[in-house]
Amino acid sequence: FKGRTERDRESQAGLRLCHRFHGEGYREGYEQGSSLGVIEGRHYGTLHGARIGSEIGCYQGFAFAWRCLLHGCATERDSKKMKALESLIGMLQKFPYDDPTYDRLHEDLDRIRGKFKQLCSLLNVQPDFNIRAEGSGLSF
Amino acid sequence: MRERPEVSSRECRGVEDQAGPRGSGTRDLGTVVLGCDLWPERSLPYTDSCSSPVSRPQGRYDAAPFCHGLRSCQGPSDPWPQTRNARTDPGPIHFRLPPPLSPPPPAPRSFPCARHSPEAPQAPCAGPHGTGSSRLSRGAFGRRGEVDYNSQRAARPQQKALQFPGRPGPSGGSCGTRRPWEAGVGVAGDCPDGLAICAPVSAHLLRTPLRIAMKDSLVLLARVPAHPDSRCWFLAWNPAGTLLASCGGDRRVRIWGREGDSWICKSVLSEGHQRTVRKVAWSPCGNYLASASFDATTCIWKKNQDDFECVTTLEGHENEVKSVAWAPSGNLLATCSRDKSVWVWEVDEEDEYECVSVLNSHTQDVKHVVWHPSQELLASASYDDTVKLYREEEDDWVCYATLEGHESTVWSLAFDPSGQRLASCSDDRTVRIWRQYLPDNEQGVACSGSDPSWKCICTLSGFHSRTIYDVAWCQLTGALATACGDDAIRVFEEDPSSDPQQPTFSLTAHLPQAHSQDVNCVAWNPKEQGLLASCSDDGEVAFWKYQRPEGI
Repeated sequence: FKGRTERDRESQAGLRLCHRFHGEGYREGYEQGSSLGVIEGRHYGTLHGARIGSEIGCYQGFAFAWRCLLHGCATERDSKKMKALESLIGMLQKFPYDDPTYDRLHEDLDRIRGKFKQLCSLLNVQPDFNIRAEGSGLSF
Repeated sequence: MRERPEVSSRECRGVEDQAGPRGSGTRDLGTVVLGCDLWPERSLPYTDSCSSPVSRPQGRYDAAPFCHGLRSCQGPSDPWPQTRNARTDPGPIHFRLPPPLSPPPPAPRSFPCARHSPEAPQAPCAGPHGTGSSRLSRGAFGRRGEVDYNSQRAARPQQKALQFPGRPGPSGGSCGTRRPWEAGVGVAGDCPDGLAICAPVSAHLLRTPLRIAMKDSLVLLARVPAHPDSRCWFLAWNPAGTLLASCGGDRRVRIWGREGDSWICKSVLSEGHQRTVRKVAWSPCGNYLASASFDATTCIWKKNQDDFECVTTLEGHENEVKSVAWAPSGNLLATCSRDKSVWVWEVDEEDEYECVSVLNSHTQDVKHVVWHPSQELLASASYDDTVKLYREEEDDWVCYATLEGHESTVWSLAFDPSGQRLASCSDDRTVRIWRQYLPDNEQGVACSGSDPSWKCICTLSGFHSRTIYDVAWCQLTGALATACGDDAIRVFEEDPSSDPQQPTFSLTAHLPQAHSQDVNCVAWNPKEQGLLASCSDDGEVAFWKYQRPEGI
């Protein structure tokens, strides 16, 4: 009879231990997972932010270069080009670089892309949109 | 399509396949059709003889309305006495129809099809005519020994043909939908013994006079093999209504003119495109023709008497250009592409084209663009199931409205003569009619700011059994024609007594086998009332005379 009580006590202690380790393990695992998630999220954010930054930067460089090239040209046709160019630069400057939660980020990005394509068409520049294995000038 | 063995001039579909291929023409109406066709129109002999309506057997036609559209109910007037073949006939077919008012199964989409672009997201397909995947299809070579995306056919799920067309669809805005059985489309009830399917008496009574009235509403005038051995994609009448431009998979545009009773090819525009020509559009002055091609370019052709010269090639789209349209002023041109963008081009006095805007509003392939008949408003239809409307705002074009409601690809759009309403047709087998409401309208439809809002006021569902590829609103009579993947042409007319806010439309003409393959386009002549042209995957262009049936 005594032996049985002893066994009960031991098994209860074992159960408590098990619960304790389970709880600790869960907490530790959660912390580690959260930290990994943050790292992964940061990595993802960096990657995509860099991608958008690279794309926007390319457009900006293109626009500034063409602004210099067109500077001083005053024909009617050039004024149209200049207008589109200024419009693109305006859009690029308004783009919220420091607010990734901006809800119209992709909409604005699409408008910038559209404006860039229009400008290319007006300037008779053919950007290489084709995505190949080796990459292309505009494979963002 | 043409690569697979020619068992008949028609595709085998659905139940018809179980009993073997169906023959062509008027003679072969035996075993296979018997008890299989759910469509009364399809089972009537006159519909099979649509290519030669003159030889229509009148006696057979008269007997048909008593058959409820189903061959299996035989009686004294049964025009098809026992011709069943014990070996091939599956015998009485037990139709299991869902409850009459439940929504139809969603139209299958995303199967490989040349209409969608080769790289467009597509579901794998194991059908007998398909290529399995769009990627694989890129390696396939066409007849001309080149990569021919257009030879890739959709392997459409066979059950599609079995889906009963006589049920109203989900029709969110079906307030104005006329039930199909009121307009001559068959309707059937569930029969416990499975031997016969009976139409409700009221529907039957309603249908009989309508069918007789509809019999001659669409008469074939001429048929020309416009693009032999390829598909004919699109047709466009010049503004004077004297010339018809057709384009096709053979990379050519052909110009057709009438001489006497026949239509002859006046010009062939062959140099210009490297790949299929998907759409053509005449300028409002009639002196220019624009052609949109899968080679990512749009050509502008200038008319010099009977000759056409390519004066400009518009480049800029990243890939296949799907559609082109001129604004009513003739100063603006719109193009759209698989690259999801819509481009607006401005034409100056020196015939120079300049891009004024690139609109990236759609999230998928843009299928069609159309201009408002009197204002500078542009509408586009897309694979993303929406229609978008654009207008100019401060030197740039903006999307000001998105029409949501279709459940699958929107294939085509057409404005009514007033421009107040827009018809859209879709892969979901419905036509939707949208109406424009200006701010502070009497009906109390909310508008955001000064932009008009668009609301679906009518859904034509249950009439079409497959994808509707084109819709055309006659600018003279207001009749609405549709081109459908079930090879049929249908014409609808608005009921004059119906409420303009909730109009109802009646089917006034239905030609089930207008072509031997999918009908791709219907186009009303802008000057001659009732003259309709249609074209199909079979490469043919057909000319029809439409006459509104009396009493409708």
